[in-house]
Amino acid sequence: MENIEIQPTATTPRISFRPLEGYFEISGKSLPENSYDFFQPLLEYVEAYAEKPVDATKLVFKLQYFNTSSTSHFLRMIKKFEKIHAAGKNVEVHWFYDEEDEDMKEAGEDFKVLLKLPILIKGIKMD
Amino acid sequence: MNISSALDQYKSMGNHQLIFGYRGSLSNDLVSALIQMADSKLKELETPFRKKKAIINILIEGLQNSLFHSIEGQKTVGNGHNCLFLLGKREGEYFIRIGNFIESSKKEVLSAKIDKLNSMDAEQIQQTYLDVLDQGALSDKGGAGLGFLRIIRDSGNKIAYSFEPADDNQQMFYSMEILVSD
Repeated sequence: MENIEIQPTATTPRISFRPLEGYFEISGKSLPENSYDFFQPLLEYVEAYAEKPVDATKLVFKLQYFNTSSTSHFLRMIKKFEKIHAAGKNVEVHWFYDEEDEDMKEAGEDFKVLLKLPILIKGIKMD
Repeated sequence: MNISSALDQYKSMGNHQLIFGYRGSLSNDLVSALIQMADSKLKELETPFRKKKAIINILIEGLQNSLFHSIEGQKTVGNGHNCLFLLGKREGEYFIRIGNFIESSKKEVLSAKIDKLNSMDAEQIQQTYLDVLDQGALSDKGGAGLGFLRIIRDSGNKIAYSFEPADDNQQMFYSMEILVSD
C-alpha cells in the first residue's frame, strides 16, 4: 500500500497515513462541507490495511476543531482499527489535545466510552 | 452613504453589544473565515479558552446547519444561502444569533426536534449525543441531529428560536439564539 499524504486546507485536516510503519495521523481542523466525500476513501483505505496490518499500529489525532459530521467519521475509522485490535494485533489510539482545550480532551473521552481499544489522551502544547 | 448615517450605524452596533455580524450569502470557506474572525475577536476580549471553544463549536454547527439546510437562491434577497449571523456580549453572557430562510413545510419538524432537545437535562443530552454518534457511525450519513445536541451541550443553555413569515408563504425566516454564560 502506498502512503497517503494530504495537505491541510482551511476546512480539511492534514492526513498522513504510512501503512508500512503502522502510522496513521489526522491533524488540524476538520469541517469539510461534505465529510462523507472526504473521509469515505480514507475509510476504504483503512479497511484494506486491516486485512494485512503490521504488528503495531498507531492512530494519532491532533485536532484543533471539528464539526460533528467529522466526529461520526472519526468514530467509524477508529472502529476499523478496533477490529485489528480485536484480532490480536497491537493497536493504540493517541488522542492529543491542546493543553488548554478541555473540550477536545472530552471529545477523546467520548470515544473512550464507545470503544474497546486503548485510547491514550494527552494534553500537549499546540500552535 | 453620508457620514452621519455611518456614525449612527456605528453607535447602533455598539448599543446592541455586537462583537461582529454578517449578512449575506454563505459558503463553507466563509464559515471557516467567520470562525477565524470570531476566534481572534474572542481572544482580544480575553474570553476564557473554554468559553471561546464553546462559542466556536456552536458557530461551526450553527453556520453549517444554515449552509446545508437553508433555501438557496432567494429571488428577493439575492443568490446563495443567505443568512444573518450575529455574535455579541451583553450582561455577562455571549449571544449567538443565526438566521436563514427555510421552506415553511419544515417548521413543524424542526420546532418539534428543538423542543424535544430543550426538554432534556445535561445528562440526557450527553447520553443522547453518545447514542446518536454511535448509531451514526453505523451508517454512511453520520449522526443526524448531532449538531443541535452539541450546541445545547456546549452552551449549557437551551436553544431559543423563532419562525417569521417571509415574503411568500412557501418560506419562512428561521432563527435561533444561543447564550453562553461568561
